[in-house]
Amino acid sequence: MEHYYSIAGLRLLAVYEGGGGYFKKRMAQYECEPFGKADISVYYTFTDENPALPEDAAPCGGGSIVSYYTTNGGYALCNVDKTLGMTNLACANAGWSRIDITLRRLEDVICGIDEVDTRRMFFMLGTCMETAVLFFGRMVLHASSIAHKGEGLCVSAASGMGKSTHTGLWRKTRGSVIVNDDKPIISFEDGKPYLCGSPWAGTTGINTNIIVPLRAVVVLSRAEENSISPLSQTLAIHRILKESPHQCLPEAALLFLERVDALVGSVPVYGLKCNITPEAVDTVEERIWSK
Amino acid sequence: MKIKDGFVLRKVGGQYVAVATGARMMDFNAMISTNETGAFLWELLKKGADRAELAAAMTAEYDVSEKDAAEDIDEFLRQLRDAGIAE
Repeated sequence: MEHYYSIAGLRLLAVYEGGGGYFKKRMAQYECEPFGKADISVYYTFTDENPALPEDAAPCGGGSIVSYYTTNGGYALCNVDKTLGMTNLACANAGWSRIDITLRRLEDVICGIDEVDTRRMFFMLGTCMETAVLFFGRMVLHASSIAHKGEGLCVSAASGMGKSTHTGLWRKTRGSVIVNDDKPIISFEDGKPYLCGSPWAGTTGINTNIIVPLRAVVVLSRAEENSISPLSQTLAIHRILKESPHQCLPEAALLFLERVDALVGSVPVYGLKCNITPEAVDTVEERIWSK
Repeated sequence: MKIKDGFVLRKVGGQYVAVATGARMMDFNAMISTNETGAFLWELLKKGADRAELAAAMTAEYDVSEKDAAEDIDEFLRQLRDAGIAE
């Protein structure tokens, strides 16, 4: 059955059988009316055995969670469980306009995780989208992000540094909207960046389906006193690359660098030293929104 | 000397940035930034140019003496070798 979504202005078609469970719930905000041609079409298949890599798949690296391959027709990526082997496989064409996701049914194999199969549908697509959006003029940033007075702010930092706590203070003290708490999508129109909600939002899962012009990027680090200052372009590039998901595929890495170039060329990047208090919000708002 | 497989280079802002991809990410998790001359040499090294070819290309492309070109190339190659980017 066909399901239609609009994410960061991309028309996404997902084709799967059954009710969708966890996947359907997490994607609900982004459902839209049926459209003609999709930008990205995703086809799900469930199997009783582990899926097999395409015969022409050549390893292209990866980490402990995801392994990447190139194939004659495009790319493949998979998750390998230490005990169960390769249970999740996605194959994409060269332009990432078609993604085929094959998942081994694990409802009867793994106990203690609700909706394990539809959960994997959701997260496997999220992994694919981090690469796919690059082929459609967009990028994923590792940041918690808000919409404030109709404009977007991305707060980037290493995991555990307090970016979600900081944006939580914006929500609490200013009523700002959390656009995405972990991995927002940045789109570009006429060279201007836009902050876009997307359903893949880290451990908190907080996200809102809105698109707002991006006002600034802040790279957060902890300090006793609050201070904010613009980063040099060199440092901004360095910090953004350091905190961003690393691209395994060479084509994707080049596209990511292209987007970073567009980003630092169009919005200011600030270094924020802060303690996690409401006064840190005052410091940022005064600097970025008082101009 | 040659740039190892797995690195990509692109102009970002006013500089050129190289990052590792694929299996190379396992042993190189950083970014390298260089200027236009470094990017020029990088592209030649990727094609397998040797030191003499680099020097010839650099003096043809830039207004630089053979001596200065040789010194710059040696320094650039040393930096790439020390960083584990070239072999």
